[in-house]
Amino acid sequence: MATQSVTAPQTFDWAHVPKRPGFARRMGRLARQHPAGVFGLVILLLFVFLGLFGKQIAPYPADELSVGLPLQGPSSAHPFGLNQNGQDVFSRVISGAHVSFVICFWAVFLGAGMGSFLGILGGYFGRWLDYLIQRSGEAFAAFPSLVLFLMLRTAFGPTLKTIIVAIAIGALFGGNRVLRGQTIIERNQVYVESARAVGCSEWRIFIRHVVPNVLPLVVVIMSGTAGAAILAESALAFLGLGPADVSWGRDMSGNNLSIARTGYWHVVVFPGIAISLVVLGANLLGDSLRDIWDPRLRK
Amino acid sequence: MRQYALRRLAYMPLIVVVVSLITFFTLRLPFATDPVTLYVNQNTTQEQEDAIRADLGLDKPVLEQFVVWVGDLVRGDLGHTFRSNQPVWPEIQRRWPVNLEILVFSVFFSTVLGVTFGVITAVKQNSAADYGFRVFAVFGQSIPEFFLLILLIVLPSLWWNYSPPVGGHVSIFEDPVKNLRLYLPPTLLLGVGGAAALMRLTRSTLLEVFRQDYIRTARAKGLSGNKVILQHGLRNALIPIVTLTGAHVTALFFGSLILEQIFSINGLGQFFLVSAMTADFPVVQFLVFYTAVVVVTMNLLIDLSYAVIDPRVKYA
Amino acid sequence: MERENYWQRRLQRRRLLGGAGVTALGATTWALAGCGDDDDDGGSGGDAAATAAGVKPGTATAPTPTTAGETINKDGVGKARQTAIFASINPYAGLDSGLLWGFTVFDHLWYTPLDTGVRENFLAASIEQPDPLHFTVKLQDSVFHDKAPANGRAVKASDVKASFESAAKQTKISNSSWWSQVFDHIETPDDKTVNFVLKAVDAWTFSSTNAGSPIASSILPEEIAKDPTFMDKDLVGSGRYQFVSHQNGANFKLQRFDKWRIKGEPYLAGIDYKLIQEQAAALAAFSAQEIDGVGLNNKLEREDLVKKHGDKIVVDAEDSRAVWLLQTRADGGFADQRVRQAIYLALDRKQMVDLMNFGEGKMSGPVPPAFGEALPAAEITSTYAKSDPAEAKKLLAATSFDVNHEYEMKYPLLGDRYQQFAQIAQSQLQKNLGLKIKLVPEDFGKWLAQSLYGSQYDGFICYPTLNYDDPSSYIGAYTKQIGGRPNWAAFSDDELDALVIKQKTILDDKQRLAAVQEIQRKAYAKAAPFIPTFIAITNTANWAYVKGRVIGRGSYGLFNGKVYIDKG
Repeated sequence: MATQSVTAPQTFDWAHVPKRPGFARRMGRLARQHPAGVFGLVILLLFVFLGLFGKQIAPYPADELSVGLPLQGPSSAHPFGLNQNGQDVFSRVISGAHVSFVICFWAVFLGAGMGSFLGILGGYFGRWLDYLIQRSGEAFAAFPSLVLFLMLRTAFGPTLKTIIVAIAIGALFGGNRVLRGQTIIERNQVYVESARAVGCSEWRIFIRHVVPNVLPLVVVIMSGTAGAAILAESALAFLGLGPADVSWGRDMSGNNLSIARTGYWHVVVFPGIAISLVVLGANLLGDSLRDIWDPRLRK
Repeated sequence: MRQYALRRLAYMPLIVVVVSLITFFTLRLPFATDPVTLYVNQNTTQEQEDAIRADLGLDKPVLEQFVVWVGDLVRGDLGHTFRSNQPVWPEIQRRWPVNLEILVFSVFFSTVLGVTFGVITAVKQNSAADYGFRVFAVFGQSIPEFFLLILLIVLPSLWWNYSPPVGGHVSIFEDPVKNLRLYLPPTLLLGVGGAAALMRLTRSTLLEVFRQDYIRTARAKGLSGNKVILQHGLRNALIPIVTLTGAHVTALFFGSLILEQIFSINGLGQFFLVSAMTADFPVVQFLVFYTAVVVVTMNLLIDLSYAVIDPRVKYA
Repeated sequence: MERENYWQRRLQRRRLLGGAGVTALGATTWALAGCGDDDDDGGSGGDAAATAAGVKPGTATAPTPTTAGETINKDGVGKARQTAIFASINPYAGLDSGLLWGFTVFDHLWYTPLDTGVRENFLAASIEQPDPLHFTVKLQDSVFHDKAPANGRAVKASDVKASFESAAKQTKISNSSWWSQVFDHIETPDDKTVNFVLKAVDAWTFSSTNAGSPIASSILPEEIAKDPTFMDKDLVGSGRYQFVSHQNGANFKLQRFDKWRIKGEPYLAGIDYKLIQEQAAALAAFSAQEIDGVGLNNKLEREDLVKKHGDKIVVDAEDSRAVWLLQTRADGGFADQRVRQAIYLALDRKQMVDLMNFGEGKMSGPVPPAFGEALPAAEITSTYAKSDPAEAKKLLAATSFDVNHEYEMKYPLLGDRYQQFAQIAQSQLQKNLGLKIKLVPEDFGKWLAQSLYGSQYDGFICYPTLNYDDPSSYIGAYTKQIGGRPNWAAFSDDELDALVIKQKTILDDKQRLAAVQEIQRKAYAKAAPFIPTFIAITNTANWAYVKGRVIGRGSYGLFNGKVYIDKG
């Protein structure tokens, strides 16, 4: 848990520390201070790894039928058991990371990354730039991602691209607004006025003062976006709107759900844990990074 | 400030127009779904197909279709659905109370729970309650909404052979008891997801605010703890909270669809979904237009509220 | 066979279709679930032996005539599940609404129960057939519901004429080609006489896919038949139930029509439909008695309910008449007959039944086993159901078929079973033939109109057939033209085309049966691109307090007005 985040930070002992400790040592210390963050990071790295290579390392192809007795419970050969098709649930969970990962990737980098940058830029400089970003942002903000998705789906049918575009654009202008709000506050802080008073250029103030102050929020937003994208993808898949691929949300829906209700819980529980775990990891990592990077928390 | 508000107000229609334009022309891209092909059966002749196309108004050039659509819209005629040939507006009118209710209840629950527990955890920082709620919030945020809602149906049935009511919107004014029995449990659960995020944000923002000089000053002035929290702390934490609540409302379009689907309530979400799957252009176009108006209005209110909440926020 | 007998008995089945669990309520679930919505679950018709699937035959699985002296509760309201929202309540706008209202709100001239196969008069007082191109129906006295525009007036021959002619023109309902190619017009010499004039001889004229269609043969008031858009808003018929209300295409309320021509019926005071989309929610609602019956997806759900409720519920088992088909093409790389033969042999149908239905299903040829026209089980085993991957590979290797190309397998987004079937077929073809196949899910409307009717698929398409009432519908796909369109699979075979067209004109039962079987054998020999696999044995659960259900009469059990609720 992120319980470490608010305990009094370690102070440097100026008398005895002649030079900055090495990178590894600093990282090690950070890790000890933020076990929850490390946990989150590990989960996310695992998720990325599975997203990239899951299909290759899965013990069985995710769609191979009858690798064992259908609906068999977890065993040593099949740690998560088998579903109605006799498919290996463990392999499906590992392979299912791919779709989530692809959507997550685009949402975080295209959506949250770009969106945050635009938000900060606009929030700080205001005027025409803010105007432009805000207006185009608003045009797309007026398209909540589900609405955009359904519109695109009407036109182009159920494809992966439709989902990616809808979720990424949603994230693009979601982060934008939060950061702009925060930046407007920072812009009006006393330290900005002071910097301006001592003759700093606007760009310098922006890069040196404002950006570092809102950066933690960017990271929090990115991690939040990752979580939200996975949740959105799984919900779409649950509703039967996802792409055809092996997907966690899809494995938790319909027939599997009613089968699980009759006692074969393992069919839906493991994909469910996978979703929750990754989202949890993203949230924990976001929290810890926020604690680490927030200048005010570090004193 | 007033000038800003007016200008934003003037821009609202523009945004809605842009959104509608995007939608209208995306739907009619050459490689997009052709609705006519969905309304024929195996015996349909080419003449019948042409007649259907003409009937749906899709035989004209795209620009002309657009002019017709805008013209009708301006005159308050939203067209007829492709599927059932019903006027679009009454179809929407009958359904929106469902979504309004889901929205109001969920936002109410998430705001009340989120802010309350956010304040508690911030004030009692590092207490058992703080840890407890935060763990709860982190997990609450990680569980898919659809899973919570499904559990709401499955668990009571397994434990007490009780099936929460599903299906059928009853107006809250007609039969409040039946209405609340249907809506309260799922909206409470939807609210919990939003509350978790809001709680964490409230807490972290408050903690930051508490470190600011003016809070120290306020305490030094001898103001009581609660007063400081409410008057200074919360007020200053409001901007991110309001922003997040706005985002939460937008996210609820999704939550609402999931709730409608699992609880079989026939609201705008399902209507949109079915229309999307049957290429019912008039409905899709209008629903996009409609959500755009709702979202743009809400965003405007949120932006304006920044200035009300925090007088330091200046709008050039 | 004498002509009168032909008209009377032409739908008779050699084998009785007993044991099926279609009740007034259960089958409306079928009407909703089976068609256009979900899949093959809860089909109607079936085989009494299906109870061997492990279902305890409850007391009500046999027809339950009300015993003398038993008091009938006429205040009960049936509670049925609706599985999907109707796009429109207009029966001409969709299969779902068409079927539901056809069985309740509207009256029909005749029906043919599946157990006897003998056509029975319903609104018709008599049906006379001077020759195969004409028949005359005399109407009984009957009145429409007391609503505008009919306002309780008597049903006249002109209403029947207007209804049939209107239905023939509809494009949104899946009318069979009977309506365009056989039906000519109707003459009404007086208010009680309806003369049907046909263009062509069709032995299947009275079947429920043709002139007996629960949708298209619904009798509407003339005013409405001439302007069917009226039904977008309200429904006025002369059936057992009056349409009361709906909420945006869901949660329908029906009320007993007190002036229904069969006095004292129906026993139910009304039927309330409840929209429940999620199966898990429906099972919960059934357990809590929020609905009286529920269609079950599989054996697990059945066992769970039986364990929970014991003999307080009755579970019916029935052979579905929906055959799961894998459709390939007859052109391009698939033009070589050996390629298609290889695909036939590469499928493992037993695995399909095992995975999709926990073994509760049967191998099927083109015509499902529920019909007398089906090929004998032993023959199916040695032809259609034969699985021989080694031979399949050998056959394919001898052809120039491109195994490196990635083919599509299109299925409609209608529920898990469609995806499951596609996955299984894909996996078997990949494993046994080394084909590369990509699954392509599509929205139902697009899939149906473009991919299936429009033949727009590269390789494969899969789906279950509907629950047809006559074998003719199952073999109709072997013609060069299906309905008004070129063959969906680009299959063009002169011999089969001629045979299929010819069997429709064979009026003798035995000869026609032989012809239908011959077509199926030929289709296998020619490896027709419509590959039948299996049918499911499906279950429906009802609370035992639902009394007076008529079972085993196919979808026409729905016209039974003697169902009542007896909660003691």
